[in-house]
Amino acid sequence: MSELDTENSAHIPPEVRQIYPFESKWIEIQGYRMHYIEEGKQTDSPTVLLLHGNPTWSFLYREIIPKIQNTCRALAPDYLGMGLSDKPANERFYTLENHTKTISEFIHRLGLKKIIFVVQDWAGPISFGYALAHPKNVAGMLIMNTWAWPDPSEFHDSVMPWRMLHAPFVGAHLFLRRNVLVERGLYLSTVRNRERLKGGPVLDGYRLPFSTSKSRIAMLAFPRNIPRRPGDLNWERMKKMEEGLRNLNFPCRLLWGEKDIVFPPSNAYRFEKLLPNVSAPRMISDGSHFIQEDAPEEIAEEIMELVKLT
Amino acid sequence: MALQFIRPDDPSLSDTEEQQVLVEQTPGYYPEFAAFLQGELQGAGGRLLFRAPSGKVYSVRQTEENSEDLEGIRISLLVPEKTDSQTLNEAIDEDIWSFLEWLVEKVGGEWTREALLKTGAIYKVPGVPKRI
Repeated sequence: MSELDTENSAHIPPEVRQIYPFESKWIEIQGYRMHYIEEGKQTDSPTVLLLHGNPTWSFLYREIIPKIQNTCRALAPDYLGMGLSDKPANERFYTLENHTKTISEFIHRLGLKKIIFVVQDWAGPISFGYALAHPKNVAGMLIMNTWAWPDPSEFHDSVMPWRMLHAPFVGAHLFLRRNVLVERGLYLSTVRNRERLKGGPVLDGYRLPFSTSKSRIAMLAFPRNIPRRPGDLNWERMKKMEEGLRNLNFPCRLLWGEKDIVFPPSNAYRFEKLLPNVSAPRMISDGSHFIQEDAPEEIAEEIMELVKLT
Repeated sequence: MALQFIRPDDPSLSDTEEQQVLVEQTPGYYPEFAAFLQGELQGAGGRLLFRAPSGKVYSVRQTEENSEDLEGIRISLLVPEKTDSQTLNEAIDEDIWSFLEWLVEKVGGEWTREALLKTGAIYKVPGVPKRI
């Protein structure tokens, strides 16, 4: 079970490199190589940690990093199993608990202090897991199209398409053989800039690290980590997470793709009720789940607002 | 199109070897899927063999823990011995889709062929009719 998929770790074709012009760095975590990029001022500047969800990687933040790097130190890692990081072959490796552990170790090993988190999709539960354990090391959080409780949204209860999509064998076919989240899911969950998710260098960038079935195992594990009822994997973890949100006093801002059916605007209002130090949600009317694709300018603005508060 | 299940002594199986096309590492993620398929595998002596609409023959069987392959239940295409690489991927995708239609219908309950077809249509999966 130690087989790795690293075939894409070194080569980024020129058309993708042109829009993702960052130097790759790696750090060893749990015996595997975690890939990350780090741009901007290195000392005496706010540390911004940009975390991706599924099925993406640090490529998701390619248009945001250049807008903040003159003011901030910006870091964007790829979780183990995603992007240009190593990809252990065992699906059971990829739990919310382990993703939280590896990101916590990443933060610890790089000595990151007073971090501003930028989170969307799975980055929400991973980052809140970190924040609840290390609240004093979090300076702020920009929260976008995510959740932090055991019942994520009505969408996740539906058989069609959500539960069918990752059901046994169906999920293995659609995720591992057909790569449907990248090939179709990105397009379906983007509004303003969706045309570039139909083909060309942007879609090629998302495809790049997921070119084989074995490179997509973490992608399939993510939806299988979402709890639906008591007793499910992560139900208790996310119940405690929701309860803990009330104790997080660092400043939070909410930016939301209004057209997202995966994590609809009601999730933003739920965060607004639960968090003690949070802005009113900023809704992006022509934005959806992959809000980094739809609204990079607005995200950079919100990060700079958080920088002012810290 | 329906799958045709075949016996282990079927002449079409002679001088063939398995080429893995799909592994499900957690068939018990929804327990009803694992329960149904384990029952089918037991009834077939541990190896389920079927001929797909393309005419290709596939085997379904459990892989052992700690084996070099991924743990779980795997579907393999039977190919003539010493075949180097997979060909006709599109046909394999359509064959697997036929297997999924069979599986989902047999598991039953909330898992319906209609839901599978609609999901496949949303994601433009080969084998799914363009109009559902």
